[in-house]
Order: sequence, then C-alpha cells, then structure tokens
Amino acid sequence: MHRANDYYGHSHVLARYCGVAADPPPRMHGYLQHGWNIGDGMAGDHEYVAGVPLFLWSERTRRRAWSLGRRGTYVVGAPWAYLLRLDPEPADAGPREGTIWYPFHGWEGQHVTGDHARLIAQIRATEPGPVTVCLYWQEFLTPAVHRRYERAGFRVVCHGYRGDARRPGDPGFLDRQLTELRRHRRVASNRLSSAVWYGILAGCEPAVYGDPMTLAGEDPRHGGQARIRRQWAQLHGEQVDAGVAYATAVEELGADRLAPAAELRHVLRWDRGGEPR
Amino acid sequence: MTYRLIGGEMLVWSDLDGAHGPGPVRGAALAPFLAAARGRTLVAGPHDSALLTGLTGATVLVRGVPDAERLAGRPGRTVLCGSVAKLAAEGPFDTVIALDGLERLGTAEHDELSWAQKLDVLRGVLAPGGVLMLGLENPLGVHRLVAPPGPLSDSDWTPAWDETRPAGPGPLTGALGGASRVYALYPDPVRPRVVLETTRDDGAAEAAVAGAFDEDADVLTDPVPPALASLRQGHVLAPAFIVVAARAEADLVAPATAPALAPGTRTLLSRIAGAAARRDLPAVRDLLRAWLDGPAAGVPAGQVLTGPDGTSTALAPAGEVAAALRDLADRLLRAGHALPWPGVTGVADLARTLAGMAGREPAVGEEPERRVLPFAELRADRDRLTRELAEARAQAAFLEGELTAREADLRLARRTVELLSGTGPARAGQAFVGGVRAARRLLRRPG
Repeated sequence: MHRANDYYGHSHVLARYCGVAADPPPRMHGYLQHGWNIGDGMAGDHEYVAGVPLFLWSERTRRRAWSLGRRGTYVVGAPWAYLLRLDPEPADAGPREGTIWYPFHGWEGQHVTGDHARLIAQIRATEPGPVTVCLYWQEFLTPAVHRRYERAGFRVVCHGYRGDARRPGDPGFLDRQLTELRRHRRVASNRLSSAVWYGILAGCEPAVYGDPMTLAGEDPRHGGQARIRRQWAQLHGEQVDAGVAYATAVEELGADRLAPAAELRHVLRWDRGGEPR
Repeated sequence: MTYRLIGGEMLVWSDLDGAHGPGPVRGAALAPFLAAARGRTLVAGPHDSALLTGLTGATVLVRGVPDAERLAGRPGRTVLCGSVAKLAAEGPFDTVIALDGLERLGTAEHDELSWAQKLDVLRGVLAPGGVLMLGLENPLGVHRLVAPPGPLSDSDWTPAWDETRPAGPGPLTGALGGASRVYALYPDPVRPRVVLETTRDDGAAEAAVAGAFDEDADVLTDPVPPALASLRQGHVLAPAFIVVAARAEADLVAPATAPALAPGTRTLLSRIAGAAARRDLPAVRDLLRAWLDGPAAGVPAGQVLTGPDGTSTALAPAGEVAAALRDLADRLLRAGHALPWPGVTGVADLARTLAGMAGREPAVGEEPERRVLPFAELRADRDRLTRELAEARAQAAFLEGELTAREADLRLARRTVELLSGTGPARAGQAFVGGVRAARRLLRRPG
C-alpha cells in the first residue's frame, strides 16, 4: 500500500520469508513500520489512511500506538528478525573483529550539527580494535564527510540506498548490513537506533556513547533523546551488559513473536495471488 | 376421582398444558433432584409428569383440576389440588421439592400469600431432618437481560413485585440456616438443559453452559459471553437457582448433576479468547498449533477441554477442520471481544488467519450466515459497515492522490525520453537505424 514498505528492501525480506517469488514483491495491504522509534512506530511525515492495518515491530510499540490513537495495529516483528531467521549465522563463521560504528545521520534535507572531530577522537579512544564506520548514503556520497572518517583510519562503508517516495529501497540493503554486522564483535552509535538493535540481534555487543548530535528542527514530540536515554538507560555506555541488551532487542524487534509464513501471507493479503505491480 | 381437593382449586386452569404460561418445569437435567428424594416426598407446583414417573409414593400438589386429573391414577401417588395455603394439614414430609419455585403455588380462588408465607407453609410440612429443594428464578438472570420485551401471560395474574422474596440464593440460604447447596440452571428456569453447582468454574462447566443456549433464540444479545463471565462469580447471572437445604450437613443430599467436575480445565475456546484478548500472539499460535496438530483437530474449540498441563480432551466427535475453524472465528467475533487482528472482513477471513497462525492454509469457504442475528450484533454490523465505508472512501481518495502523483512521474519520464530522443546523437542514431532498414528493404526486393 505504501512506498515506505519497500524501504531497505523490507518487502523483499518478507516476500522471501513468505515464499512469494514475485519481483518486485506484491503490494502489501497495510503500512509496515520501517524503523525503530519511540512513537507509534510510524514515520511522522507519512500519510496514513484509516482502516489500513499498521504492521508493527513490538508489543510495546503496539500499546503505545494504541494510546496515541492508532487502531488496526498488528505486531508482526521487524523484517530484520525475519532475515535472521532466513539466514542463520553459519556454524563455521570466521572470528568477529573490531567495531562497526553508525554515526547518527539525518534524513534527506536534515542537517546534523555536532562536533565530528570530537566524536572521532572518542571512537578512537574507546574502541579496542579496527573500526568500520557505516555512513548514510547521503553522507557516504559527500566527499568531505567520507574523507574525514577515512583520514581517521576507519574503514568507511555504506549499506545502500534506503528508498524514497519515488524509488524503492535497495533490496540488498539488509543483506549487506547483516554481512557487515557479523564481521564485527561490537556495534556502536551515538544514538540508540535501529542499527544498534539490529547489531545486538545479530550477535554484536552494543555500545551507545558520544555526543548524540542535534538535528535541525528535530521533533521532540515523543520525548526525544532525553527520553531514550532515560527509558533505555541500560543500553547506554561504552560497555553494556550483552544479556540485558539481547533480551531488550528481542522485545523491541518483536523477534519473540514472528508470524508463521502462512499467517503473514494472509494478513499482508499475499495469499490472494498478490496484487502484481 | 383419585385426587383430593384441599381448597382454593381452579376448575379450568392448567399449568401442565402450557397454554397459559411457560408450562411445567421439565427436562432430564432436573431428574437428579427427584432421584435424590428420600422418605415421604412432596412435590409442590407444576412439574412435568415425566419427571415424576420414577417417584413412587410421592404426594403432588397442583392448583388446577385438569392437572390433578392428568397426574392422578398412578399407584401409590397422592395428588392434592388447591392452594398451598391449605397444605398445612398435610405432612410431615422427609423431602419437599418445589423446583418451579413458589410463584405458581397460589390460586386465583384464594388470598395470595406472600413469598415468605408460602415458604413458611412448605417449611411447616417438612420433617425436622427433612430436605427442601427449592427453585428460585433470578431476576438478574441472563435470560431476562437478553429477552426482548413481551406480553404477560395468563399465569401472571399476581403482581411480580414481592419484597419478601429473597434477592438471590445467598439471602435465601442465609434465611433458611442450616446446611445447603446451590445449583445454577441454564438456559431458563423452566426448561433447564444444564444444572450445575454454583461453585463450578471449570472447562466442563464452560462447555456445558455455552451449549445450553439455543442458537436461534430471539434475543437482544448473545447470552453466552455474560453467562460464561459469571461462572467466576458464583454464576450470578444464571437464569435460576435450586437451593437444596437441610438443618444439618448430615441430612443434606447431593444430586448427581452432569457434567462431572474437571478441575483446572478450561475450554480451548476460552484459552484462545483469553490469549487473544491479552494480545499474546505467541500463546494463540501455540494453542492453535497444538489443537490442529493433535487428535482434537476438527472438534469445535468450545468442546475441547485443556488441562493445566496442556493435555486436551474432546467432548464431541471431530468434524471438518475448516468447519471447526469457522466456528472458532464466529465465536470470537460475536462475543464482541477486543480482537488483535486488524481489518477482519468476516468469519472465513478470520478462520484463515487462525489457520495461518498454526502454519496452515486450508480451504475455508465463505458461507452464508445461518444464525438469526441478535439485535446487538445487527447494530454492531451496521456500525462496522458504516466505518468500513468511510474507510474505503478515505482509501479511494488516498489511492487517487497516489495515482495523480504517479501520472505526474510518468509525464516527467515521457518528457525526458522525448527530450533525449530529440538530441543530436539520438537523431544521428535514428538516421543510421533508418538507413540500415531502407538498405535491407532494398536488398530483399526480388529482381
């Protein structure tokens, strides 16, 4: 129904899980949550139509969404959790090394202000092993930003194009992210975000530290960074209890309540032969 | 004439023929009470003659002469005809049975006694160690709560309001003193199909109570959900009660009502409904999978008992799995629970989701609604359809907006293509391709 369903190749992951071969995947009947957030799970800048189901990641998000007036919600879990089920870590996987670091990014048209130099110094001082920095595609394509991290001695990568209103996301986005995460022992960021949760579920030790940066015109509606630091205090710091972090990630990504393929096919309305696009 | 007129009898009145009111209390569910009678027994009020057949040597009190004639003539049976007010001279009895209650013991030919006075008369003829079995309709019973308003019957000549009538079985047993047991009757006071002690709140009781109500009764709302909800509270919404009372515990009898207690069980339906209401989707999936993968697949979920250890017992034979899924979906939808599934379009749709939750995709066909919908469900349907129409309109408007945006994209793309095809290199390419085609045509031409 909504183009955001194709962000990060989410619809491709679910189609693979459901055994639906169509490419692009059939249109799903509903809005799929496409990122972790502390509101109702939906992006604030999208239009939602009454009566169209909202497919959410976690039970906590569902309760919060209900309290914010959202109805017709259904917890299916994050596409990331389905991807991990589709591609379990091989037993003979090589040793993990170093840290993958996700500097907080803004979206297209947003401007992050903060001290990059100080952040880089802090990463160097904290991380014991080699560091890979993963940039948002926009920053990756900005030579100044790209070079800055490279000069610091970090390996710089980008998982791909997220997707926008005109173009679907890169279907291989999450696969690349999973491959990268599984190469690293730690995942870190200056803000608790989807990438950190993904990393925890993929077996990385998490860390959230450093200047969280501020976003020009950031919407403080749901409590912003202050609330995230309060509510998920146990996830913040240079060293975090991995057991606690894993249990919390399972909850936030709904990894404990994934739907069987038959159920998902029916609730996404992919069992009516799908609506080809 | 083998009956005795004790005074106040009504010459043409009959309770037993059912022409002037609801007819006598009847049904096999009441038989255990008459079977528990011992010693000299009085049966007061309209009881179906089928219930009396096993009771030899009993005394029966009715108020209409046609009823006395109908019941008389059985060897050993004494039939009394007239008002309960004239009963004081009879007795004492070891067992007094009045399963219909006290409302139909007075006659139009005698001053109406209050409820308490009638009870006093019955207690007066009871031997000191005797047992009283007394029916008591519940004014808050679910049968009344769901009944559409109707006219009064011929037997309602007495005012219904009587302040001496106890408010429920609690005040009644309190007033009687001694020892007592209380039983709940479903689906109505006169024709109970299920009679259970009010301490019962197990799966077998749930299944029995849910099955006691007629599917196509003319009701305002489905009585089953509130009836089931009241099991936890001592059956407060039961249509009627029977109080079995004696002075001492040792004198008390225990009628063998069915079904037997199944401690710690719940019906699968109630477990699934509970898990769904808690939004515990993993639990719903586990319950559905265990059901559909086990021997009880195809048995309606309301007829499957599940124990605390997860074992299940089927109370009915298995039918088609698709039919059992449809039945479950129907019961979940009609109960008006807060369900976790969004955008459910009907019974078959929900049945398919439930099957999918167990990892299955059976063919579940659309079937026309066979049940006459109660008023509350019609109203809910109307509200749902109104909402769905508004949502469909909103969705159509949204899709139209999307279409406009895509058309704009398409126009832009076309213009880009035209622009590109108008450039120098493109024109040169076109000219080259055109020249090749012309040359080929020329070469192919015969001669």
